[in-house]
Amino acid sequence: MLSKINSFGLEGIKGYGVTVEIDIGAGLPAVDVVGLPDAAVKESKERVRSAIRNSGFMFSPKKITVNLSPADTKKTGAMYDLPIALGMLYATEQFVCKDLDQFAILGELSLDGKIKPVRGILPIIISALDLGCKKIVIPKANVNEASYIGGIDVYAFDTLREVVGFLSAPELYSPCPKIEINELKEENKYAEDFALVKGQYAAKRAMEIAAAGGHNILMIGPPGGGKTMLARCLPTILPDMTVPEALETTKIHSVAGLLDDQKGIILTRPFRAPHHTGSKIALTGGGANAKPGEISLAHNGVLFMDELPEYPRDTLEILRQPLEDNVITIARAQRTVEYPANFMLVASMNPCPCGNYGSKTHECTCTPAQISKYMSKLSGPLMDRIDIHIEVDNVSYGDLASKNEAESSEKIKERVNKARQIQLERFKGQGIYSNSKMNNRMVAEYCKLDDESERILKISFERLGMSARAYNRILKVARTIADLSGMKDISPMHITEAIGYRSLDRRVR
Amino acid sequence: MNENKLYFWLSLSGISDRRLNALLEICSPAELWEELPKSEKLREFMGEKHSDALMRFRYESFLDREINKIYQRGINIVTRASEDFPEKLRNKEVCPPVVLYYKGDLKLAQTNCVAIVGTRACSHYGREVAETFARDLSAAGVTVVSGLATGIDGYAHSETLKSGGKTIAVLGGGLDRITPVSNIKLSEEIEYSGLILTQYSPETSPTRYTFPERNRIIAGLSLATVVVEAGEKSGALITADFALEQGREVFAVPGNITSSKSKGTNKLISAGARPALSADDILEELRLNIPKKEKSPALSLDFFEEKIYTLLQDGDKSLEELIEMSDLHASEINATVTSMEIKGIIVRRSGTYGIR
Repeated sequence: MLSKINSFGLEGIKGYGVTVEIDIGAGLPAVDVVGLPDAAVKESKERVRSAIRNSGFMFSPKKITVNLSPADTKKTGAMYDLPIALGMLYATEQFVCKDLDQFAILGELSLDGKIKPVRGILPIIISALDLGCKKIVIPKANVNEASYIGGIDVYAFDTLREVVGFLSAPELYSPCPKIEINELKEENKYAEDFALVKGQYAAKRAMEIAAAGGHNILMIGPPGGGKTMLARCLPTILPDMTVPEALETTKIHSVAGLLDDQKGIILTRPFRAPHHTGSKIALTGGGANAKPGEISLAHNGVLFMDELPEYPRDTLEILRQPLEDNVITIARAQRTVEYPANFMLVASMNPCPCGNYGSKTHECTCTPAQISKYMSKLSGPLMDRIDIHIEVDNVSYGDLASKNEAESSEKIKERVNKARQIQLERFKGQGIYSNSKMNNRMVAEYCKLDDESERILKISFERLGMSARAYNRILKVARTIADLSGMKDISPMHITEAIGYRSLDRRVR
Repeated sequence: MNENKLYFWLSLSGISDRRLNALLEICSPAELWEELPKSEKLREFMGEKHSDALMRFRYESFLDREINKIYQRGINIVTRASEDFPEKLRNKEVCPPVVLYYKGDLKLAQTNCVAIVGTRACSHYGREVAETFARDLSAAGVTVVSGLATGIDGYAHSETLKSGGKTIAVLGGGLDRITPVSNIKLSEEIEYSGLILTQYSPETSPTRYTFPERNRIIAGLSLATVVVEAGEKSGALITADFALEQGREVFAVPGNITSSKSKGTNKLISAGARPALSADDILEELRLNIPKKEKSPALSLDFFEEKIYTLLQDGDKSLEELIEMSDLHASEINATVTSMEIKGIIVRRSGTYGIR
C-alpha cells in the first residue's frame, strides 16, 4: 500500500526533483500532507478527493500519509495535485503501471478531475532533462511551452482519467511533437513604428546605437518632446533574440505565470514599463515566494523608467547591483533565489520639476534649489551605469506637419541586427551577447584606439571636464557605432560621436 | 580710549546706520562715551533701547574681550577710525557703517571694482552673461563685486575665481552665518584669494532687512553696477537704486522682453540705464583700459565643420535643428559638433550649440 511518484519543484528558475510518497494504512480516515507544504499544497487533499471521486474512481477511506521529499524544502504551488491523486490510485491498486518511476508528473486538479496549467513548466522541463528524466506528464494547457525542448518525451493530458489511461498502457501513446524555435520567426506586430516619429533624428540615432549595443540610455527633455513615444518605439528595432536568450526569458515569464499559453515561448524582447509608484519589491522581485520582479521580467529586453527622478531614491539605488552583475539575488527567510536580470535600462526625465529648464519657448519657474534637488535624485553611481545621454527637444510644427515618412523601424532593425551579429561573433563563447556587457579586459582587447582617437579622447576629457568614469562608457559606445558602420576599427569619428552622448557628465560644471 | 574701540562699541548699539551717522555729525565717538551717562537729552535722542544697550556695553574690558573673541575666529575688524577703512565707503551718500568685519585682502576694496548682480533664479542666458562679464572684467584687471547669493551672484564670483581674477563678496549676514549653505565652499575660495566682508557681527543671521542694507555697500564699493538679470521685484534693482543715489554708473543687460527674468533689467534700460552689451561697454564708460584681445587664428574647418559653422552664424541651434537644416546624417552632425566643441570653436548651452 505504498506508492512513489516523481515530480518537480521550483526554486527561482531552477527545478529540483521531488518524490511524492503515499502510504495508505489502517486508521481513522484522514489525509496528512508532510514535507513542508504551503497552504496551496495542504489544500490539495480536498481537490484530490473530489477529483478522484468525480473521475469515477474510489477515494480510499483510510489513513493516508503524503510525504513530499526532500522533506526539508518548502513546497509551493498546486502542481502536486496530479501526482498525489495518481499516487493514491496506484496505492489502492485502481490502475497498474509497470514502470511508474520512469515518469515525472505535474499538474493542478480541479474538482471535476480536469487538469489545469501550472507555473514554471519550461524551467522544470529544462532541469528535468539535466537531472536525467526522460518522460514527463504535464497539463495540456502547458504543452506549448514544453514543446521547444528536445531530448525529453512530453505527454500532455486534460483529465485525470486520461492520465490513468495513459499510465496503464504507455506504449500506445506517442509523445507530443517538438517545435523548432527557428521555425517561429514572428513578424512585427507592433502598433508603433519609428516611421511615425517626426523629426528627432538625433534621438533616433541614439536609440539605434543603444539597441545595437544593448546600451543603457537616458533621455532628457521638456514634456511633450516625444520621449515616451521614442521609448515605446524602441522594441520595434531591438535585435532578434537568439535561442538561448529566448529560452532564458521564457523561463522567467513561465515562473511568474505570465506566459501566453497559445505561444508558449517569448520570441520578442520584453518591454517592461513599471510605474514610479510601484514598490521596490515589484521591481526586484520577492514576496513570500520570491517571485521575479520587473527587472527580471525585462531580462534580455528593455526596462523603461519614465520620469526617472520621480522614482523613490532607494528604488533607484536597487538597480545598481543588477545593472552591474546582470542578476538579482533575492534572499528571504525561507529561500534565497537568483534571477537573471540582464536588461537594457531606458529612462526619461525632464531637466527640472516644471520641465522647461533650458527650453527656448517656455520659461522655467523652478528655483535653483528645486532643480538641484531634482537632479540629486540620480546618484553618481547610477548615472555611471548609463552609457548614452541624449537631449530630446520639442519638435517644431513644421516637422509635425511634414508629410515625409521617416525611416521605418524595419530598416533600422536591419542595421541593428547586422551590428548585433558582429557582436555575437566577437563574443562567441564568452558568455555575453552585446558590447554594453564587456568587462574591462574585453574593452582593452576589442576597443583599441589609434593615436588620433586617443588624442581626441584625452583633449575632450581636459576641455569638457568629463569624469574618468565616462572613459569605458565612451569606448563601448564607440565600439557599437563602429559595428553599426561595419568597420573593424574605431575611428576618430566614432569616438567624437560617442563623446557627444555624454551630455550629463558635462552639465554639472 | 582707542577710537577703534569706540566705533566698535557704537556698532553694538543696534541703532541704524542712518541715525548713527546723523549723531556722529554732531559729536565724536569719544564725546558720546563721556556724555552718554550724563546727558538725558542724548539718551532720549537715541531711544531707550539703544542707549540702554550702549550703557550695558560701556566697559572697556568687555569691549577688549569681545574684540579678542572675534579675532580668535580669524575674522578681522576695520573701523572708520582706521586708515584701512575703504575710502569709497566713507562717502556720505553711502551712509557708511561704523565697523566692517572681513576675511581676505582688504586692499581689494581700493581697486577698481564693478558689481555684477542679478536674480537668484537666473536663466541660462543670465548665467552665460554673468560669466562672460566676470571673465572679461577680470581680464581687464577689474575686481568683481557681488553678494554671494545663488544664481547670478554665485556665477559671477566663481567665474572670476576660475579665470584668475579678484572678487569681493559682500554678505547680508555675519561671517559665521554664510547663506546659502551651498555657497560655503565658494566663500572659502573667495576668502583665500579675494575679500569677503560684511557690516554685521559674525553671528548675525541674515534677514529680509539686512540684504537691502548690504546692497548699498555693494553699490558703494563699485564704480559701476551691472544688473544682469532681474525680475520686476528683484533685490538687484535695489542695488541699482543705491548706485544711482551714490552717483555711480548703472548698467543693465537687455533681455528677452517676454522673459519675466529680464523685466527688471529692461525697465532699467527704458528708465535710462545704459545697456551693457559687452564688458567693453563698461570699461569704456569707466575709462579703464580695454585689454587687447588676441586675434584668434583663422579657423581651418573641414567640409562638415564649415557647414555647421555657417549655420550657427545666425544664432544658436539645437542638434535637431542642425540636422534638419544641413541634410547631414545625425551621426555626422553629432560627431562633428562634438569635435568642434573640443577644439573650442563652438560651445554648448543646455542642448543648443553656438559659436564661442
